[in-house]
Amino acid sequence: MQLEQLTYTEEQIKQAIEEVWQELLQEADAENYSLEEYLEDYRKYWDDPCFPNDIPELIMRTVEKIVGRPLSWYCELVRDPAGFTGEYSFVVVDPKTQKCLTYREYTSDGVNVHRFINIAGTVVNYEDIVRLVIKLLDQIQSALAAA
Amino acid sequence: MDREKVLQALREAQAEYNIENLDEFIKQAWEEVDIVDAQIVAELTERAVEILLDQDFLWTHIIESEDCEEWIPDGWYSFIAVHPETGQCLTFAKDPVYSWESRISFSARIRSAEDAVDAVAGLAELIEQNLKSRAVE
Repeated sequence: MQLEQLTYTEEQIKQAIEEVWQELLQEADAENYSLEEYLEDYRKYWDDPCFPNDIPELIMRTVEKIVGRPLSWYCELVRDPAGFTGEYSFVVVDPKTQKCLTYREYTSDGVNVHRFINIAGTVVNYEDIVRLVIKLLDQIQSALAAA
Repeated sequence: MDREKVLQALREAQAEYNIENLDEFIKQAWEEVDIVDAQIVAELTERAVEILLDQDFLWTHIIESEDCEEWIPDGWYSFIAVHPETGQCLTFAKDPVYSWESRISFSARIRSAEDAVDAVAGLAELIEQNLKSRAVE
């Protein structure tokens, strides 16, 4: 996916991520904890639930900031028997229409239709967060345009 | 929701999954914190809802954990159902207390066959209600 295809820039997304991070810090009554520091700790301790739970909030609040309104969403921290895999799976719904905005349909061989209701991605570093925000925005934008 | 119909749907789903004793299977999945069996419990619940409503849906489910650090399933499940044609979220509900809040998943505790009956009935009722109400235009 090319950023040029989108109506928002990577710079705007990064700015929104920073603003949301500051909001999250304020709400947690925490200070002087940069996103870079957080991500370093997250990489060290990501099997500790304190860390992965902040990622979906950061991602979706950033998405909402850019879309300009609240969305209904659910995020699964994908696990296998060994524990958290580092993958986040989002289902996003428009609360106005109840339409699933992460619903996608693919046709293969002109016959088989594959349908998905989630958008997933692995987060290890800052660029992964930006990439997942873009992935979600791209999908939400096309779903809203099709509505 | 007619309890006998719910039971019948569960029995049919149980047969599809080749499970002899549903109550034992569900209890074991919870007590032995078996994530694979918990996965089957979730899928079986979804299938029973489909049999009951005679309709297929797109699903995602989350096996909730009691101890987050160890990722131990606690017998709670969250389900999200979407209409395969319209994309409407069928497990969408406004929060009964905070009307400006909404949730998109249905949560249920399934630690026994009796719990599974309640879960299937509750899930089917919510889906039916959403199907009847304003659909996505």
